[in-house]
Formats: sequence, C-alpha cells, structure tokens
Amino acid sequence: MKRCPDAVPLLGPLLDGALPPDDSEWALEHLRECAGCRERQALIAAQGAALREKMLARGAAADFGGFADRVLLRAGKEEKLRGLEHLRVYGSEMWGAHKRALLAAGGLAAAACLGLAVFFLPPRAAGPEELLYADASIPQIEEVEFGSHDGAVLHLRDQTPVIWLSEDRQ
Amino acid sequence: MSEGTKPDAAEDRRLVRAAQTGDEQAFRQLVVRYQRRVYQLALGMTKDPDDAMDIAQETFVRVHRYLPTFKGDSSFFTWTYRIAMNLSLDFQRRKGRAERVDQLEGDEAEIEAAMDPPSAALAGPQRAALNSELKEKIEEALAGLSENHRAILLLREVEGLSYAELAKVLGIRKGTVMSRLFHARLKMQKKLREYLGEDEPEGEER
Repeated sequence: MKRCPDAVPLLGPLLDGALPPDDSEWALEHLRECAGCRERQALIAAQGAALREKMLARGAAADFGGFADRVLLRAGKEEKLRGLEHLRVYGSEMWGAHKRALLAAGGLAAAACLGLAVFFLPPRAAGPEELLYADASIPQIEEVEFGSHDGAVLHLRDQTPVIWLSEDRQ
Repeated sequence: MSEGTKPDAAEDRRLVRAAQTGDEQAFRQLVVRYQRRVYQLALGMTKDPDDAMDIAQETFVRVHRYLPTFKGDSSFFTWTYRIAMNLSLDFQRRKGRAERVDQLEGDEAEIEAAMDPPSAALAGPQRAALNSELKEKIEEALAGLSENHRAILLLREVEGLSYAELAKVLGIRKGTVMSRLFHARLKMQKKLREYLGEDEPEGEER
C-alpha cells in the first residue's frame, strides 16, 4: 500500500480532479485502506466549502446598483483624459526627437512672418511732429512756447530756422 | 448567464467581440456577469468591503481600457481575474499590508505536519457541530495567510478555477500551482487549529 507521506500531497489534487489517471487510481487505492487520509481529505473539502460559503455570502450581501454605470462613466472620462495625455506625450516626444529641426523651422517661420508683415502691412499714420518733418522741402511754421514768451519757428530747407518771439508775457 | 453562475465562454467571446467594436451594452453585460466575482476576490484579498468595491471598479475600468488589445488567447474571465488580482496585490503593497516573504514551499516540516491526523474538532463525527464555528473562523484564518496563499485559495475554492487557469491568472507554472495550493491548504488548516484552540495531536504514519 502507498505510504501516507506520498499520498498526502495528492489528496487535494484528487479532490480537484487534477491528477493524471495513474496517480488518481493510486491515491484512491490508498484512501480505501487509510482512514487517516480519508479524514485529511474530508478536512480539505470541508475548509474549502466553508471558505466558499463564507465568501459567496459576503459577495451576495454587496450592493451593485449602478455599478456598471459608474464604471462606464469613469471609463469615458479616462478615455478623454487619455486623448489629451496622448497629445502631450506625442508633443513631448516629437520635441525631444526633433528639437533642432523644430527650432530651425520655428525660426524660419518667424522670419517669414516678419517679412510678410513688412511687405504687406500699411505704414502707420504719422503723428503731428512727424508730419512737420515729413516733407522738409516745403517751408513750415511751428508754433512753440518758450516759457516766458510765445513764439514760432520757420523751418526752411537747408537753412537755419528762423525764430520769432512774442513780447515778454510779463 | 446571469450574475454569479458558471461562466459561459462562448457568450463571453460574443460579448467581448461586440464590446471591442464599441458596443456599450455588451460591455455592460460583461461587467454585470463578473462584478460580484471580482468583488469577492478583491474582498478576500483586502478584507475591506469599500476597498474591494474600489478595486472591482478599477478592474473594469482597466478591462474597458485594454479590451481593444485583448486577443482572446486566454478566456475573458481569467484575463479579468488576473487584472483584479494584480490590482489587489498592488493595493495591499501600497497600504503596506503585503506579506512579501513566503515560507519555502518545499518545507519538510510542513509535510511532517500534514502527517498529523486530523483533530477531533476539525474532522470526525464532531465536524458537523463545529461547522458553524469553522465558517466564522475561516475568514480570520484566510486573513492570516500570505497574499500568495490567500490568492490561490480564493481562486480555487471560491471561484473554482482549474489548475491551468490558476497558472494563467497567477502567472506561475502548473507544478507551482499544485505545490502552492498544497501548502496554502496546510497553512489554513494550521490557522484553523490555532483559532479553534486545538492542540497538535500525536503523529500517525502508515
């Protein structure tokens, strides 16, 4: 007859139906003749059944109302976040891999924009002082204030300006 | 299949295929089929109903995320259990509850202990009278086991996974399944003896 130390490791797998036919036959033969191993196997079965019963009862007591809805809601939110995260990661990886090329392209683009701006934007309207000097070939008179006197300056092309002063305000 | 009954692999495959094409109703059915089982597994691992519910929810969120890449090499439920088991283990580790060190599974002393005949309280004619106490203590005994032993006992005894399925879910070889299950059952038996105030009886060997 097979000895108990050899049979004991087979008792669980025998219960689980996981033994090959030869081993199974061998273990069954031992069980027929060994009351101790029959008890050992019964104990394995009893503690398994007790565990199953206890855990199934605890599982049955749980409330799963709205569980699937909560899962789908969270899954939907995470899907959106993952989309943004993919973009961030994609951008970060592209930057890391092609930093020089991207910088060069950015520089070229900026230069092109500046060029286009210079070419296409209309000139800014000139202010009054700029108007004064806009066409220096025409004599122009500028009213000025000298503190104690009012005055005027006549601007002539290629000549010294002529300054007139009013009487002293005092 | 309704919730809690034996998984129907063909129906699972049909639902998985539909869910992979974006059928939300099919995914919802998969959740309903396995929500309680996944919860039970997480509850056995964490011992806390709220934590177990969080893990169950996270499991299905991950299932939803990775379902498009699920090739069907394993069955849907072993794949789902594996996700749930990994999340439960991660959760335990984050909470610092993990018992990382398992005793060597080839420990001769354990084999010797297995030679002890079952005690009068755990076996024999008094077993029936002690069944209710056994049920009360079984969860406590389970909690006293290492995470590896707890996992394999829950998957085998509660979920009824075959040895091949256990190997897939736990990521171990079939030989390791047999050995780990043997030692997990022995440890459980030892814990139950402690909780039931049993003395180790004299050995008997044939």
